[in-house]
Amino acid sequence: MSPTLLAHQFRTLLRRGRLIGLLLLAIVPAVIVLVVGLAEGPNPDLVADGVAGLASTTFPIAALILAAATLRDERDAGTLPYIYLKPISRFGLAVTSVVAAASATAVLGLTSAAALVGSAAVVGADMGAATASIPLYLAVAVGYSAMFVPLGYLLPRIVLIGLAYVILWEQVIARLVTGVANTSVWRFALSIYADIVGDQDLLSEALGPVAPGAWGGVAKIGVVVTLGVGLLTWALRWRDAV
Amino acid sequence: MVGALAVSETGVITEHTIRLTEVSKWFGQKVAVSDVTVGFGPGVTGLLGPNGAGKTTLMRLITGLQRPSGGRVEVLGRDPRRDVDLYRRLILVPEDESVYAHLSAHQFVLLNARLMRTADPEAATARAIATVDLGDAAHRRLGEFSKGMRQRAKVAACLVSDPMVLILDEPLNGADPVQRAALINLFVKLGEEGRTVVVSSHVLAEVARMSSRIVAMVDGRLAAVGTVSELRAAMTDRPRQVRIETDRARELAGELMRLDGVAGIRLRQDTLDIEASDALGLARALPRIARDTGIRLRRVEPTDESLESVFRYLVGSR
Repeated sequence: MSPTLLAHQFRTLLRRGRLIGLLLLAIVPAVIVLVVGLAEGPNPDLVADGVAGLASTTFPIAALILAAATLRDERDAGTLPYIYLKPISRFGLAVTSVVAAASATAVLGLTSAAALVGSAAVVGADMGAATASIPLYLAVAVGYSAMFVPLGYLLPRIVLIGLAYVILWEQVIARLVTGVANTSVWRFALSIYADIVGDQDLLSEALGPVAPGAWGGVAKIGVVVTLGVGLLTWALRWRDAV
Repeated sequence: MVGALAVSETGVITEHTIRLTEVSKWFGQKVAVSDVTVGFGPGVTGLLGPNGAGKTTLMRLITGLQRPSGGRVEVLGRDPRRDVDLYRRLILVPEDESVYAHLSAHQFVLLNARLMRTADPEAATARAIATVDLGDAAHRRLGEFSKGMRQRAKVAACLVSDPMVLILDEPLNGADPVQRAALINLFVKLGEEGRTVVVSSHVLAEVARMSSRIVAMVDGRLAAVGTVSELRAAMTDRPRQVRIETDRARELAGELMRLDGVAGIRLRQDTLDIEASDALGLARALPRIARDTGIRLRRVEPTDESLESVFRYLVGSR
């Protein structure tokens, strides 16, 4: 891994204009929890409801945008040669890119979680459910980065494809077709959250056939990372870079 | 020997540092580079060709940005697609204007120095920026730079690692005349230091000024390789353009029309533009005609010795 490249990619991903937009997107669940909590009074399921509901699309979309931009923006802008033609192994370049995307997404995740904790404190909601969003968002950051950095490198319209995956595949088709939920990175991460928060009906419904379990979720995310880094290393080595 | 390269007693590589053997590259049905076998050695080599000739693709193949569909590419005896350590010695200045607009020139060059693992990145950055004369603007954002200044920043970024092989894709684009002259001098100096410098450009006169050797491409194929004069000499069957200034143009035109080797004459006041299919015959006949008729020749000069005219001929003859 190249620390110089990591710092460069991290800074490039979190440029001011993009950061502000994505932060606004990431704190939407916290704002909704705050507004609903103030309007309706204390509700023990409020935070988990916000996480399993709204955050299931807002945060994956933010993660998708950052992951897809990591190498796709460089390819589209014509700046990829400045990082590709350097004495950095293809595996090192792949790992660095995924770590940079995950780190940038984690910044959003921690901000989102902090906002959720703040909202929960204000409205007297379940603080445990709010703080458990930290590992959830970190797992999402890692999983989506491992998935969409390589796909972003390979596919020109990856944001559209990614939106179809996040909105249609994970949220619509996975609820309608048994088994599709087992291909949902969001549910892998949510299984970690469900394990920490405890069994709740609304989380079970969101998970579908995916069993709650922190270690199971981590293992599945680990498989996604292995496949993603492997795919990206292969693509950097064997596919044209421009 | 270093790999396939011959090295002199002083350590200077005397043969090809870049070697392409039967290299082809196609994108679907489109052939961008077809069966090219060519070598590039120390010094400046101009890579010429019209748009779509395959110059940029060839440069991308040399640097490993693209993988050949067929054939073999070697740089310093190594495969650029397999050996990333080669990038300590091999650099590309891409044709695209793109740079990281949010970085300053100093940050951009320093980033390259650090990614190249240069021993003293700050010092190397300062040297490279001074070399391209960007010192005053070093801390301005690249997004605020003119095209020519961006080109210089890109060249500075490539110089930080003290490369042996420089692939420069249209590096003079957007530079003003003073900057162009400075960059040309820089490339010539790098070539004289024993580095392999491959420069593509559409400004043919400038290529002729900086290049000891020309590689011309047309439609993805190698059209010609050699010095400008070698290319010129190789085209013996090519009609030559000659301009003559004289005090009796009409009369001289009549005399010249009798020669077999004159294909056409255009008369313009005191000037004749002659298309000669046998330039040597014309050169022999002209003094005799002038002596016999008393016509005074003020000026006789070829008008098609420029690289551009040579190149146009190569393109047109295919």
